[in-house]
Amino acid sequence: MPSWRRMPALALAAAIALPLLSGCWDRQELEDRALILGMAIDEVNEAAAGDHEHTTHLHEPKSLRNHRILVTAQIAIPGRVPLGPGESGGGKQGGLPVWVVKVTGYSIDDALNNLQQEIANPRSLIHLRIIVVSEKIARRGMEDINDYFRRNSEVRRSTWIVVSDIEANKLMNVAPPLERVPTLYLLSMIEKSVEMGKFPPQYSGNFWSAESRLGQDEFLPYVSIRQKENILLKGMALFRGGKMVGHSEPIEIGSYMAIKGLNPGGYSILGDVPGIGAIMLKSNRRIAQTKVSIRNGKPHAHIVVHLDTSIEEKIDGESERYTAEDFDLIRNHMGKEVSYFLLEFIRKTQRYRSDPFGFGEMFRAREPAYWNSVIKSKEDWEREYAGMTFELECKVAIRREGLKLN
Amino acid sequence: MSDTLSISSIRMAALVTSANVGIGVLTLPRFAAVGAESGAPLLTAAGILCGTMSLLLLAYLCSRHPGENLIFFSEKLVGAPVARVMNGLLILYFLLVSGISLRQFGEVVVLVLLQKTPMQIVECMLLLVVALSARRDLIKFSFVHSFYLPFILLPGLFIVLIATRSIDPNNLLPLIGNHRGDWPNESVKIASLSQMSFVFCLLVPLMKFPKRAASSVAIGAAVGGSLYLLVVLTTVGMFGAEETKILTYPTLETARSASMGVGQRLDALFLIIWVISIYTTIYATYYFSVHASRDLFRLEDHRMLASFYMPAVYAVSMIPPNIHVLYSLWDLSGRYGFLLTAAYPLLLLVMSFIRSGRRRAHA
Repeated sequence: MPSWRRMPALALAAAIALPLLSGCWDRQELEDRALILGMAIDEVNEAAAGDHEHTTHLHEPKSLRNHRILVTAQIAIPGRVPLGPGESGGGKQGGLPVWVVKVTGYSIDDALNNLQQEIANPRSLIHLRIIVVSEKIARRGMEDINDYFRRNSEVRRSTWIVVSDIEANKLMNVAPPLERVPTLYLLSMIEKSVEMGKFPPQYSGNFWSAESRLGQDEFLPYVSIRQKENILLKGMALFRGGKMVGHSEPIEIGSYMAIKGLNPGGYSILGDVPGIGAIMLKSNRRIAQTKVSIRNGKPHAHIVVHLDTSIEEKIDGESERYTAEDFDLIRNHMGKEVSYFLLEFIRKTQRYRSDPFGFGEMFRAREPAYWNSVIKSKEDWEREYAGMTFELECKVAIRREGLKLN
Repeated sequence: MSDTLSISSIRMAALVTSANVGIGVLTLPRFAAVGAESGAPLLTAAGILCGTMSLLLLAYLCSRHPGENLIFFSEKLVGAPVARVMNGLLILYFLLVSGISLRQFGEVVVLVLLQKTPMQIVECMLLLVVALSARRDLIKFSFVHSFYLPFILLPGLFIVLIATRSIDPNNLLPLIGNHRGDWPNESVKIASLSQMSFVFCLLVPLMKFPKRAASSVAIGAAVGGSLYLLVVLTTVGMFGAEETKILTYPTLETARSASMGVGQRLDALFLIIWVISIYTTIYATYYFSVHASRDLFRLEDHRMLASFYMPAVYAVSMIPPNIHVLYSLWDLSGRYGFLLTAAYPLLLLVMSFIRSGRRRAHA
């Protein structure tokens, strides 16, 4: 028991501890924050950009001449963002539940500082979910953009970065009837395609890790707009040396996932089988085994891809027989067809000298003697990759064919 | 009152684990990746083994002198003047370690948790809590550690296990890394992390069975070391060595990335257990300085010292002008500190053997 004489001291200690321990120093009301949900980054013409805001500089930095970007930020308006399915916030009171602000600057941070001069509440990136980058910016190089988002402790590694083939800020306004917040629609579009096996889980964190590796090049989702309001997942944006160099077709996302053995399967393959007609196979599961070796001093990979598929459609049926009798024919034929276009995609990436698969990492891990003597930098691997040889086998298994048998 | 109680072997092991797991958790994967690239887990294992060996030496030495603690029996073994200088160095070293750890804690909190709170306030709060709890006696000190241990181990293990889903085995190959690193130097750096539990040498005389000190310490160090190893394994396995090298706090990023899918924001849970583990670690190093000083100066009570050392630790934590200097200082103190905390017990052990040999010869 503390004696009565010590009571004042204890009371004093408690009085000091109360404000300190309750952790109110950083207290900030949700309503007082400008929560940025999504961001679009575009190139901007120096003439069209207008005046400089001079928030972070007085004189134009020489190294950044003609480097201005346009940042379009979507800021959530507290109270108007619908929180649950039952709430009817938004729409009726007029306007979007988000506030779209456009600012220019020499870098992300410069632009965001300009933005801060325009809005009252402190900006916050803790709820940033998606960053759209226009193809022009991606082709110019992503390093400065990556740097800002990697340094900032508010940004999560589960944020998505996507490349758009048109101006990125247009995607900030796409608000189809399914979702009331435009950014969240774009986000659920990408996340659902991951769930359906239409895109690998390439979050910004994975993108950045791939960028750091010497034996792998990074890639991002490549999107576009169709009919004003629809977002199309157009393929993978392929990078080399931090710059976008090209993109794949949508089905080649499936090729990528097959070569990497990523599940769940999602893409359907349309192919012609002689004597039977066109067949649509849906891949349900992908398994891939890759063995790497050195042949005549050149890197070589042997890849075996197993696809578990089911028949979804038979078009122009030339035969009226039970399909099951022709399973072997279909399997063999489609196997050849698929391995052809898988190889096609690999060749395409070789032409771009961009290795999104990370074959280089396999050589670093399994053939360290070769790797240490030849590869000193990322460019070294990109050059070697272009000359790499491949053997690819695709084994297709048909598991079921729906409710009709011929 | 509680001095009549004694410390069980399990509580001793718990103390060693909870003191060891702490400040290194956030940055260890980076140091290991810089040292050995994809060989980071092996390097970590080597470092931990090295640290555990030195702790075992100390434990064995203490169990040979079960009646007294290190401060007293060292004076008998190498003579009072030498022993006092060395013990004084140990006290200064652990004050330095407490200060640097405190600063690292402050830096992380200000960077990722409380951006507006001044770092000085954050540090003062932790230091205050540590100093207040350092007024307790040795038995209560061991109780605090064994109480907090489950709060460090279980959630830590949970997060690490969730993160193992995203390990790519290619990131962990080749096992010894692509380039030859400076393994001896780097593993000493990692070994210094296990010296945080040096304080156990003051508790051996209070053990129920002082002869079991070595086995307790071995278990404790192994558990703590395994957690460190798992952290390095998942972090490097997830990000790859090149990425791990450039992340300021790689383990924090592991916790953040692990949350994908399994409920967002697992990093909040991680930071809570991290704060607890920092507390137990700084508590252990600070407590050593306080208690060893009491015995060195032959004082009756250590409570006054617990308050007296606060400004010194705070001052040390304010020395590094930036995070870069902070980590170079940490690196230096780890390397020379390990030399001190491993070589000194070794010297004492040799003397102990010589003395007991001579005694037997006389008899």
